[in-house]
Amino acid sequence: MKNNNDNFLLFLSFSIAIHLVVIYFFIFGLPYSFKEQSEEVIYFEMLPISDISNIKNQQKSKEKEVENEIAKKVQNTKSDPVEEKKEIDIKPEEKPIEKKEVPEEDNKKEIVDKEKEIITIKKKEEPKKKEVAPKPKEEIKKIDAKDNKKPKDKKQKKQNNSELDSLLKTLEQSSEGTDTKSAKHSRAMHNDTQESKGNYDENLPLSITEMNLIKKQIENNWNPPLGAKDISKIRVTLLIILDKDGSLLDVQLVDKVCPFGVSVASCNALVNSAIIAVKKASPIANLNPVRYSIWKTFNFDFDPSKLSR
Amino acid sequence: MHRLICLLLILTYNLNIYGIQTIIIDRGQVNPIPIAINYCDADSSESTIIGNDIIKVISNDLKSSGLFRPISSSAFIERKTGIEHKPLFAAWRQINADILINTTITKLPSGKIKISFKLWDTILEKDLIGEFFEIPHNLWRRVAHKIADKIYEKITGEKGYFDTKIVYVSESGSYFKRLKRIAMMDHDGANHRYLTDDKYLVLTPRFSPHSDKILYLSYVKKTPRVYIRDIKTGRESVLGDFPGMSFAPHFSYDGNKAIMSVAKDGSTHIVEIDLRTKKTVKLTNGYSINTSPSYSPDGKKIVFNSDRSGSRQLYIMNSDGSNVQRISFGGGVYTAPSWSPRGDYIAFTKMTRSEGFTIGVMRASLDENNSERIIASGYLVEGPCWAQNGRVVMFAKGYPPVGKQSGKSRIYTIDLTGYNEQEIPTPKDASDPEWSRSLD
Repeated sequence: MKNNNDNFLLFLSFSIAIHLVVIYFFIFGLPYSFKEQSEEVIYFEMLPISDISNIKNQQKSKEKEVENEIAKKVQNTKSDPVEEKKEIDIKPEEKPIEKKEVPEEDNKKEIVDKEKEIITIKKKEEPKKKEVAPKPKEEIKKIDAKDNKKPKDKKQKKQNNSELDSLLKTLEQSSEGTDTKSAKHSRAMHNDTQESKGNYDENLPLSITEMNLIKKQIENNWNPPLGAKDISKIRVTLLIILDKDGSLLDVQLVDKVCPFGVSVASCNALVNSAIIAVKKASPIANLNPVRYSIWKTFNFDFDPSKLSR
Repeated sequence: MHRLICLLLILTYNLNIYGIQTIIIDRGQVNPIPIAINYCDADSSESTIIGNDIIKVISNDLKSSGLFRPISSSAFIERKTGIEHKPLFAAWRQINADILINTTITKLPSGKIKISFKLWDTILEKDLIGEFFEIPHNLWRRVAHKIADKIYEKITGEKGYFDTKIVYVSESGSYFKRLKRIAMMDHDGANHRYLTDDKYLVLTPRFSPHSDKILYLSYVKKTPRVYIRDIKTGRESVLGDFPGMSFAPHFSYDGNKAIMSVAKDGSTHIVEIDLRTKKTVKLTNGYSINTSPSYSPDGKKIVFNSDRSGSRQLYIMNSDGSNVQRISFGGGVYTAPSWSPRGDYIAFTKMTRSEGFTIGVMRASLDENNSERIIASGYLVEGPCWAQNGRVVMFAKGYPPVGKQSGKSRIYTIDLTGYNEQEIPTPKDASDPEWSRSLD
């Protein structure tokens, strides 16, 4: 009996242990699943393109917005056209009016400083002009008719000379609506030059832009021997030394990858084509003389593998 | 420890340590090289005439390759001629001549003429090659082709193909009564002559490696049989005593064997024959049609077309007929394979519903991605063959019939890259061309 009890207890404990182990793995999983999958963090930086390009300060041309003439006319119809015309036309008449008015009002100022008088007279005239406005209307209208004939004639002549341009002009303006400062304006009356302030560093190595400019010049002159057997397996590296004006001082063959089985003649033909390309591209343009120490020497790695596909 | 440091230093040594940047150049231009062929310096009026003819042939050869662009002589600035003087390179660069050829002809006391040439690179300002030939007068044309070959090889790195012959089938007559003869000419169409008459239908002429014999198919006894013919003597004989039809012959690259198709009891098989012992070996089995065999340059493999998979496709097998592997998998029908003498490409004729007849090339290696490339197309293009440098493909191009007249058929060459398709002038219609190797 005792033995049976002992065995029973033994088997019971054994069974409980196994059950506990199974429950344990059921809850917590197998050991390898304990490893946390580490998240891979990819770091990147956001840089302004000027930091990469390393372009020298350039003068930018700023387009001045052109007022829509049609829209302007619409606005003019709303405002007093006479006043605007006064602003334009009264100016030539200011002098005679000034002469009449000055001695009546500011005799003392005229003696001391004529310039100050003119300035002060102008200031005083402005409010007075508004008061005087209604009187010389007829005169102004007559004068307008006389004055505007001449510029109008000139304008008409110009318009007659370029009828097509004016047609295009009106079509373009009408498409822009009546907004005087429409976003569609693309014609520039004046070009304002403005220097851009970039992060230009003379001591940085050649930027991607600069390298692409040089690369393009070489590629335009490289005539590789396409169709030659196994040309895609050949590589040629040249070391070039440039003068300050970009002209070629020396070119040296640094490395030539000519795999086994490729004919020596094909290799030599590619080497020659590379040297000729470099010589024909000389002098290399778009190189900043200030950074001569940076671009004085560099390598060209000629890779025809993409050409033969 | 010291050794380790030295090793590390050596391993890390490179130009970048000194801050030299590297720019990768992986694009270029596909433009013919401008070349100036200067007037010949001759010692007599007779030599001058020969010299001018030589220059003309050289110019035509180089221009026909599509890789060179001869500059008109009216643009030349320097007036000095001959090989003795050093050219004024700036003057030649001024007219954009990258390459300059100077020649000199002198008459020898023996009656022969001595033709010397020198090839200059005006950019590098150095001479690339200079050679001379002493020949009888009547061989001036071959010398001109050889000079063109030398120039071509020096600039491109590839062997030239100008001093070669072409054998082809000359066609004439109406659509229902077509007359065919085997003809031979220089690669530029000169020295044309017929090898057979037009009594019997002839097809697929093929040169031997030394260009002294040809194999061709003839219907002499109303049964198509392969014949071997000595070009010089004109003697010919039937090759192989086969019960059925034999056709599509090809020489091996060493000239000791020939391979052809033999048709019997509804199936066609490839048979190899030893030209010395006349012993034959059947290389294919089964009930399919296997034809148009072509040896690889090393003679170890054979490419052929077969319909064993249901449609005509291209297969490669060992020269003993074992290890047959299919190499074409595109849609359409593949025929007339021709193995490049360089061993890297196989040219073929392909027919599809969408594109019709095309000439294509594919890599001969089974390891690489075997993508094919179409290089020519037309109403009827077929029968590609290679120049000996494996760079240029020749094929026949047929045009649609006009009314009751059969469409014309001409021979064309095209570069492996698909550029520069050129017609080879023939007096009449032409088909089934074959290119010889360089003549000795």
